[in-house]
Amino acid sequence: MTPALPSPARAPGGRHARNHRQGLARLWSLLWLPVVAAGLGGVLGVALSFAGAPSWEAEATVTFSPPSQDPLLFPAANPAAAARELADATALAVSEEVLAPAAAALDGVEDWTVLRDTVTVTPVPGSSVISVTATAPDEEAAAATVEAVVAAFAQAAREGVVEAARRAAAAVTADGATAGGEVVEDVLARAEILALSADPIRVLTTSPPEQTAPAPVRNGATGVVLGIILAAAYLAVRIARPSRVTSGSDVGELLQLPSGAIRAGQVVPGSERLIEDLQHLSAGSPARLLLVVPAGPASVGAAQEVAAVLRDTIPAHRVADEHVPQDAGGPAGTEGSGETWVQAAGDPTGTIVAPLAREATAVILAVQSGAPVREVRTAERLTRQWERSPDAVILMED
Amino acid sequence: MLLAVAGLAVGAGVVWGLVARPWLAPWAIIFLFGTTAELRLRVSGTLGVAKDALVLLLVVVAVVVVMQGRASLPARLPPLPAGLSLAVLVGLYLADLGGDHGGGWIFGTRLLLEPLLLLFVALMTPRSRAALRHLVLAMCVFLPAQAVLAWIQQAVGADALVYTWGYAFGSQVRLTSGGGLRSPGSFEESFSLAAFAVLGACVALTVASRRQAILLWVSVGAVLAATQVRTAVLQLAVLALLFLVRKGRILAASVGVVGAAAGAVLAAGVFLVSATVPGGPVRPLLFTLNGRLDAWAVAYQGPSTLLRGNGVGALGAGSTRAEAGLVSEVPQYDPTAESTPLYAGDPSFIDSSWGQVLSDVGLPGVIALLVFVVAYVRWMSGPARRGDDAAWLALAVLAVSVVDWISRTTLGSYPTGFTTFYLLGLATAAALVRRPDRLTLRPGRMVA
Repeated sequence: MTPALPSPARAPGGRHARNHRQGLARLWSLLWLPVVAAGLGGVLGVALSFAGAPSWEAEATVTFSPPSQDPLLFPAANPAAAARELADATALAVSEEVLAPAAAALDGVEDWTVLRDTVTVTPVPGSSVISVTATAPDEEAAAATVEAVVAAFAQAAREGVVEAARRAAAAVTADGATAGGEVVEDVLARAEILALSADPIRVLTTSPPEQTAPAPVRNGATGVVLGIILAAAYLAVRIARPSRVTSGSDVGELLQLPSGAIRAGQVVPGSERLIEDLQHLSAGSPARLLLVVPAGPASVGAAQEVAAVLRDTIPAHRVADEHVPQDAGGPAGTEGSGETWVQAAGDPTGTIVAPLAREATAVILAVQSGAPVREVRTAERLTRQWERSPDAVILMED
Repeated sequence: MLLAVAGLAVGAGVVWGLVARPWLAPWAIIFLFGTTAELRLRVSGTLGVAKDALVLLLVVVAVVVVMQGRASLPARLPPLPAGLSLAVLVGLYLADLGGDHGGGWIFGTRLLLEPLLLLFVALMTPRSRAALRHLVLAMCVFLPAQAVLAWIQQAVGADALVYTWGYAFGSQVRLTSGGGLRSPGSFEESFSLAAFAVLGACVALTVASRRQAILLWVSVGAVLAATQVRTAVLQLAVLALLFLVRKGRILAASVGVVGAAAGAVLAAGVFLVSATVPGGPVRPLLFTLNGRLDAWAVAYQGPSTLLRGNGVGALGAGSTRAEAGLVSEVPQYDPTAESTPLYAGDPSFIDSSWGQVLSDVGLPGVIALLVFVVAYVRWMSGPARRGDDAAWLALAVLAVSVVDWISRTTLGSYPTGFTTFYLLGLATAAALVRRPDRLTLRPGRMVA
């Protein structure tokens, strides 16, 4: 029995395993950036959480009942005034009139301006609710601050209404002779009721203080999402940006030149005008050399094809063209021939193109459809170094 | 009924015109954006959605144009840093890390996205140089008309504008601190008219012909005199500096910057005073910036604002639109309601685009916007160095916008933000696409 021959060395796992590994590699090539960015963002978010001092926030919601809107006292009240009175009340809540007594009621707060920086008062749009929040380094201080501010706010608002009622009563009493007895009595009665019943601020809720800093979980999650947004935006922009040339418009606008296109050895409809221009130019020129230059390695074949199509498309010059070498080289002898030559250069390097370009009637760049945009941009930069810039660009479509 | 038929006919004509000849879009942009407020007041409040319909139509046209190969995506899309920063900004708005994706988010995001869509539309405009010429022509027609209208409004006075013309005090009709009337033209407020005039100044300085420039400068002067907007003067100063830079007078520009800044600080600290709220104490402008310091402070609600913002539309422009509903109420004279002008400290009044972005999406958004501006300037500096007028127009628009964004919420605003981004995109496209249609052998090329 002959011994079994050793089987040729094979990659472990077989074809399915290879496909699996390639699939994973492709997935990782797409996902590594979001994953790394999310990780870095999360770490930064957590680190940032511990960079600041601890902070607690307490919130109270109150309702504001504008005295002018009391239907019993003021049956003809203007409802439009309610919004303005709510705004006035909000401004009162963060004024010295409220914050100074609140600061006095708190231990460790020396000045009312300290409270101005830690207390936020926000009216809830479309309602008569006002939200009062206070921040402090610890839980107790936050709760005490919001309670002190709300109490001082209610007191100041009440005193304001009583003072307004008192002033109204005094004014109508002083003016009683002209106003008439019944009017005076009516106003005095309303003012007295208003002063007795005034309670424009009522506390709805007082939420227990919540710790707002440090918040490592929240900030870490924010960092993760920010990292993903950054990475996703990068990938989206990179993928959305076309990386290959697909149309005559692409090459024309990238190279800032008149453009045309050929397909399967024929001039694409819409590009005839460019060919007509080339015919016209070469006919009117004593040099009559059309130089076709590829816009990079991916377009070398396109340059040959474009040159061939130009020879076919300009029939009057076909015979002369047959004598022209098709690769890079020295200038063809055109002087005095009276014929047009079409020549394809090897690449857009200035040293190769320059001697030919000096002799040429027109220099035409050729671009292969699907060529990398980067390559075309490089060609555009190279042409800026030429003694003469190209005159047109032709795309060879697939 | 007749009006509806006529409207449909006009609309169909506009659609056909834009699809067949996208380079005529500047006429629709200038005239619709500039008259929307008046049309809503005089014809129908629902005409406010006409601008959204126009933006949508232009986006569709742009997509068709790209698919037809009439405009090149790789040649016209912004470079990676500018595109990436915009994508990050949009991503932050869509994610709304600090908010709850409520009504404010919808409007705040829409107000940012629509101008950016117009930037894309303008970048993809075929025959962009022809489109830019049409835009200059449209401005040469529209801006003088606005100047005439503004001075007619000055002649009739604020009372007639409210009680006879039907404008709302605090919206179309605004007064300066000295009691002078700020004319709104056919815009919803005088500040929008002034911003449009400043864009006209950018055009006059860069791409307009001599005659067009004279017409535009006269109109700009008349409009700014009728609107009396101080920020516009600051923007014109920035344009003057840009002009000096273009002429290669960097030293003069630097001296101008230092001198103008010193003069402004001196004037605002000593001579100019204002009260930030009616009846409030009068203080030097330098210490209040006419209440803007209070308004900007609204954007910052604590350290969390820096990290993820207060939520898109929670404060500032988007918040007011969320309350207004899908179709906002047309500002007009209403004898049964008090006017509700916004004052510094109001949560719906941030008065700075930078502050608005900070409030919406936090410091990452502000940084993204800043990177976009820097990357865009770098993008346009190439064609500008080659002396391209359109590139200088793009730089001018960007310069005046950056100044405007400091003291006004115009980044995502209608019509100023919409018009600004469209003009920026069109100028950019014209600067990028310079290829001639026909092949011509220029003199000196041919070797005999």
